[in-house]
Amino acid sequence: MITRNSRPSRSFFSQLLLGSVLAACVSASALSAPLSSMTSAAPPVSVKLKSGAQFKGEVGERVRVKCMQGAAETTLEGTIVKGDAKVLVLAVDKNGKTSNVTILAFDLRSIESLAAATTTPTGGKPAPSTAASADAKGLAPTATSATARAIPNIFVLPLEGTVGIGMRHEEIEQIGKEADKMGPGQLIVLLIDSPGGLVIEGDRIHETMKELKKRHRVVAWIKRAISAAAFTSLHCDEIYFMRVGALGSITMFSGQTAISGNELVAWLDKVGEATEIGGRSAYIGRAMVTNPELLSYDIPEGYTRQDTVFYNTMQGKYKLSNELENLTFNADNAWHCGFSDGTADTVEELAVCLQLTEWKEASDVGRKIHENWQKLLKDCVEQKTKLLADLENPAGSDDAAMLGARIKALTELIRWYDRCKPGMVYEAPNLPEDVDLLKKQLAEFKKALGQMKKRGA
Amino acid sequence: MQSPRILAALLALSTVACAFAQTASEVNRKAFPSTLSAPKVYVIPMHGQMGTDIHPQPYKLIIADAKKAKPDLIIIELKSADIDNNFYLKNDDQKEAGQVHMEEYRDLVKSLREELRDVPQVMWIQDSVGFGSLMAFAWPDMYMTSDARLWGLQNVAKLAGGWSDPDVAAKMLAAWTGIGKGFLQQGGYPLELGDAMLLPEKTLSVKFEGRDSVWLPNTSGVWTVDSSKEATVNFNATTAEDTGLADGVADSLDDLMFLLGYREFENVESGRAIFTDYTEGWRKAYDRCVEWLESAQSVDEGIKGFGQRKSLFEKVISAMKQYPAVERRLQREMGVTRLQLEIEVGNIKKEIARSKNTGDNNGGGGGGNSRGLGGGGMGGKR
Repeated sequence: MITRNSRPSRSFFSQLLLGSVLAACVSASALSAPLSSMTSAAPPVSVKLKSGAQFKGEVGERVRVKCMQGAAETTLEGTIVKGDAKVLVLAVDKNGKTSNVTILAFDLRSIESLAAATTTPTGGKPAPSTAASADAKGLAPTATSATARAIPNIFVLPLEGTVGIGMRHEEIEQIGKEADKMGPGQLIVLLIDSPGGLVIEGDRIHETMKELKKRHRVVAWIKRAISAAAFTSLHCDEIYFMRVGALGSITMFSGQTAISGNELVAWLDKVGEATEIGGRSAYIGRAMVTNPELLSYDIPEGYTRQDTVFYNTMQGKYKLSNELENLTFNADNAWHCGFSDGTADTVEELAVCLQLTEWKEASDVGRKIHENWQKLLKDCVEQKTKLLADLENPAGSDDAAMLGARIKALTELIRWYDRCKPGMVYEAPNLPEDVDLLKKQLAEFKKALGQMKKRGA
Repeated sequence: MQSPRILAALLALSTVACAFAQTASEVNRKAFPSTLSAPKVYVIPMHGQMGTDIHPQPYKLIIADAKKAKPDLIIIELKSADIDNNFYLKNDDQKEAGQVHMEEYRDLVKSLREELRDVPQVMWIQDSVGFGSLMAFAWPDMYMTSDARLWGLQNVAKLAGGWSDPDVAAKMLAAWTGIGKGFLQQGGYPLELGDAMLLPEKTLSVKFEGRDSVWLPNTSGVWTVDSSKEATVNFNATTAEDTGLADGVADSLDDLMFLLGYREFENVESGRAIFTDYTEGWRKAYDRCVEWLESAQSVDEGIKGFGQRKSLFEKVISAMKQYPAVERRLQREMGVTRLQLEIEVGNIKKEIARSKNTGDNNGGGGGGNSRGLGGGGMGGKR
């Protein structure tokens, strides 16, 4: 079986933007500030010409296109509605009416951006497209869309450590809420460095990522994304690697043994789903799960890495995973097959990959969220170990004093459950998930102390 | 509504953005300085044990120093061999074998490559066996001394050993070797070479296209480097140079600079001095800590003994804080960590307090479960 790389597809994001444009058609009032802030970044468009050259622009950009119509070459001017490896859809004005023209990539000869020309006021007159005209025509290239073309606010959230302990859905949700404050369409970069972790957390991240992608452009930047961290990354429409980066190995196992039977089938489906959510062939994710899931690919002659055809057999020219292997990508093979969107070691390089003219983070809130959680986790583990030592060997020289010290230590341990439960339960020395067990013990200690005091009195 | 001026500016920006190709970044490789002048050369040593000598601590200082020195060229001098005679003589000091801190090594490479990215950097291998070889591959310009080895990356695959389930074993292997191959990718080396160096079952050959070597994951090249499916590839200086892996062989810094095209150069020694201070410092501190821990086992009983033991432990804690390498070595050799010692100090304080409260100047064994370092509660050899 084969599947094509369905990228670039930013389905949720595109739907959001198109929805906003539609709203603009319905009512002029929709052009007010709240709407404009809702459409604060246009989705990028990457169009491949017959010559193999690529044009990179964005939805709403005004362009001049030379293309074949029948046997004749013709020139059209219009606004990009949609574009991908196979097709370009232009909104073209003709006799005061606007209609969408679909041009196959095969027929495209050249594309020229008219952004500067159409937006530079001439003779003191306003730019050709106005908010009103856009409203009438249902088009985006207007003054309103100036906001739509604004450089998005960048939020960087480092995600480090074991999934479920250091790397959690809570922090992803938190950065989403921070980005929400600036409206939809913000750019969230998840800087991932994790060896994987808990499956249950992977499920939570799965739901969180699906929701987050409806509102923002979410990008994974890979230092190390193994297992559940790879699963997280697959949800992103755009994945960039650091040169040292590695991503894959999503085998689920318990004890010494990998899951099998229905459990394996369900996991393969889920990883496949996550891979497709990110706009990639499900075969890729499945090859990261279990050895019998094979993966190879071809890049058809005259086409580029974005047109890669994947096979769940070894029939492709390029082999990625045979029956003895589990798939883990590095920067080069991820790039070659179109799995990654670029390789960047620094934020400046990432800015280039993301087609940003500069790297300007909205704030350091994401990095702070990360720092705070990592510090809390470290403190938790250290304090837990010391408190357990206090519990085992309490201070005091008589029974009551020692019991009092034990109560103090246990009370503090219980408090840590509220502050940092993953650190208490999943980091060694592991404590029970159910804090009530500790609370019960505390109640017994208190009761014993009360009895001791009564006896003493 | 945005003013037309702002609109124009924004759209101009987006046009400029489109001009950038959305491609993989090339390996950062700065051009060497002009041969007309004597360049200033800053040597960064990577000598000794991976994880203790080769540790982020001195390199933070070295990077800051190098930035101040503003050299024209940086030479990374690698001499880190886990085992000198790894075939049959078991006379090596296992304490000196490289430690497994892959993420730390990766971040160290990134720091050197990125924070000093404006200065061309050359890797000069004097000897490398074990995890040090990961570092060797993280720089695209590679030179070796004539007796240098570039061995031992099978150690990375060994990290994934011990799993019997084929899916889990393959997962672990793919994960560890994937991380290992990241180092080679950082240096711009192809994955075929990484596979052959990390995985015994992979073969390797090379063919030449002009001056460039093309590595092949089979034996179809003009030079078969590894046809065995049971061993990983190891290079010595000759094979590395002949296959084009190394750019040249140089036995001294003068030789190396000559090969790079400079008859004269200014050698900045401050990096070497920082590194030497650090390695001497932590090793001296480690030796003292071993003595202190041994002394702690033979102190007198009673409050005085508690006080002495506490004081000795506090000295060890302080050394561990000053040099994290000390804690690493003590943990590996004696099973002792800073946190354990801190808990032990806490326990001693409790014992002292108890002894004072009960008026028992002999202390020992009172109240609770205090074990002391000599009591066997902390495990490890001592």
